[in-house]
Amino acid sequence: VPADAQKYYGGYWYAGNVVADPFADWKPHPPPWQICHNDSYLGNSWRANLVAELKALTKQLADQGLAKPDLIVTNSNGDINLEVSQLKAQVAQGCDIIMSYPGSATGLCSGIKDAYNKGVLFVAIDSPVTCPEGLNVATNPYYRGQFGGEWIAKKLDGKGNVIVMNGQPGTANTVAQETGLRQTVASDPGMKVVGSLFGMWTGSVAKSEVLKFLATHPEPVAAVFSTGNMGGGVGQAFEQIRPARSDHHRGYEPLQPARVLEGEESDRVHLRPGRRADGLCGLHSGAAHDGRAEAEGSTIFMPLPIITADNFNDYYEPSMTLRSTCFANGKDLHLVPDEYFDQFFTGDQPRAQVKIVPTN
Amino acid sequence: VPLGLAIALFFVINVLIPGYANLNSLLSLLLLSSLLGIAAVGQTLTIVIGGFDLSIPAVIGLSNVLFSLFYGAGWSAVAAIIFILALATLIGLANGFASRYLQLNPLVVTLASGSITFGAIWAGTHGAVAGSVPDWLVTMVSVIGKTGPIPLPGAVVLWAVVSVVILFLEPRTVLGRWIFAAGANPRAAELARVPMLFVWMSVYGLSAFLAGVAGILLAGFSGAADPTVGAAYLFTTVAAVVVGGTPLTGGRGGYGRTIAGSLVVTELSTLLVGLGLDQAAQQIFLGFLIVALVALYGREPHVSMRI
Repeated sequence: VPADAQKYYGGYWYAGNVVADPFADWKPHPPPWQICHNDSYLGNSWRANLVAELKALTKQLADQGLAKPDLIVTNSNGDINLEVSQLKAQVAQGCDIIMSYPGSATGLCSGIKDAYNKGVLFVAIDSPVTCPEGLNVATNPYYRGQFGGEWIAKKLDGKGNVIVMNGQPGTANTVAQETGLRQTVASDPGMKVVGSLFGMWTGSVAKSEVLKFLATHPEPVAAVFSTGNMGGGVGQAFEQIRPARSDHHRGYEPLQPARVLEGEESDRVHLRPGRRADGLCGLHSGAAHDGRAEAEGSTIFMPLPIITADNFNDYYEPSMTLRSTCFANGKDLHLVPDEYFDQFFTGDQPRAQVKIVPTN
Repeated sequence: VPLGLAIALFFVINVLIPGYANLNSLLSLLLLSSLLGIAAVGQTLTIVIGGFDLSIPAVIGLSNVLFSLFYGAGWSAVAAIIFILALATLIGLANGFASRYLQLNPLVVTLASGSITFGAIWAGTHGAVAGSVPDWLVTMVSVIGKTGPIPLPGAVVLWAVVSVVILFLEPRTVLGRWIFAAGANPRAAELARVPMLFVWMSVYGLSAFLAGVAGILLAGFSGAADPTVGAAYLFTTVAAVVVGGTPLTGGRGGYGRTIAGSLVVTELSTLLVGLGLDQAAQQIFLGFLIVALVALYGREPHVSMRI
């Protein structure tokens, strides 16, 4: 792992493998490539935006003669067995590069191996796979938890109760993230994780869980670590049941980010990994090196975009209100600069130039 | 019995969790129960007539998404509500028609219509859901919200109104008596000239209408649209009906029991959260409870066997 990126790899083993690049000797099929996307669930706006961006990027690569214009997309709707069969079908129908948002870290391994044996590049986005033949581009969930824990501890001067609002129980991503947070918080004896809740990535479920938690836990809560788009529901629950500011429900992730725009808050950190299609620019670039570039490992972990009051307007539209539903776009629509990915590749071919366009 | 269980559970929580007994906790309990209770009206009545409604989560998701989209696009809230509830009712009427007139299994019909509805949300929005909700709706489903001079959130007051209407409808109207007759013995009801198609379409129409109301309330509850927001309400509406004591065999029970069932289900999940158990443990516990209660109620002979 390049020296400048190593800090993003702490506790990586909770989230996936980092092994030598399985595609080191890979000779890509001649362009134009058929790019495909294999998704485990396309039922929310976050995933829909991801696919929309992939389509836009594929079109741009097609304009440069590097890809076929249409992105082939499959959706298994949470069924991992179906996702494997869809992956194998994509390999059989001639996909050269398969992007995937896998439903499991291990469940797609037979399909990934099948793709590898046929010279098809498989790249898991956001949710790493542990299969040795798969490549990953993601933010490191352990690092997310670790970073959040450090920030919360700093803001609270090492004293206070914390609750964690996770998405779905049982996923490697969730376990790695909470482990990162708990291990970091544990180093401060004055801090304690008093609740681990699951909002199922749904604001209303998250809000219900927090309401129940606060109703049954009279002790003060100093901070909430919330991920995904559940921050609004979490924030509302606190406002309604514990409006007094003795509870510092500090936002980590988009906990009602519009409050910053409305001048109510200025000391929150919002991390919005959001548009992971950013990461695909790097992989498209690697592929575009026409085989003369080699990735330095199987997993690329990206830095976390850090949004504060100072750079808030780079990420959120001024028109956003407390009642808006949206995701952060990132400065120039990039959450991670394309240049970040250069350090992971060798070779002298220039990167393919693609531009992320707004899709929502 | 279910109402007694709800009251007893409240005291149990007070004993097990010191500090629980306060106004905010009680309001939280009522608010969460009201959302479940409104969504469970349809499940109760469809079970009473011998059916089942698996489309409730999808209709909740549809109304949730459409309301946020329409209001965000500049529609007036009233226009959006009328359109959405009319659309939801149409889905319910279609469920009732297909189940009764075409003699299709209501489980299959509502599973299919739920799938069609959810697919339509996805096709129409491509998952890209944006929009906004009015402040009054947020207040209506806020723990600290008030309804005029009444110190209760609007959703709780609405639940009370809906409950009174349903509790009046069940025993005191012709439609109410037809509903129980249709569930107790469909053949006898037909011979007694109960308009079975009308009854089934009315019940399923009402079920979808109130699922639509729940979806709109949930848009205000979290302040955001989410097609999957209703997912939790399939299991919990059935749990509320069964825990309340309405048998799945139809013909008996009623919404009064579901009111208590909604309170019990919400109290139980609150207690389990209070004891530090996560959502998976809550589901396991509620699953066992449903099996136990169905075993208990299911031992009674169907009402048609006792006539």
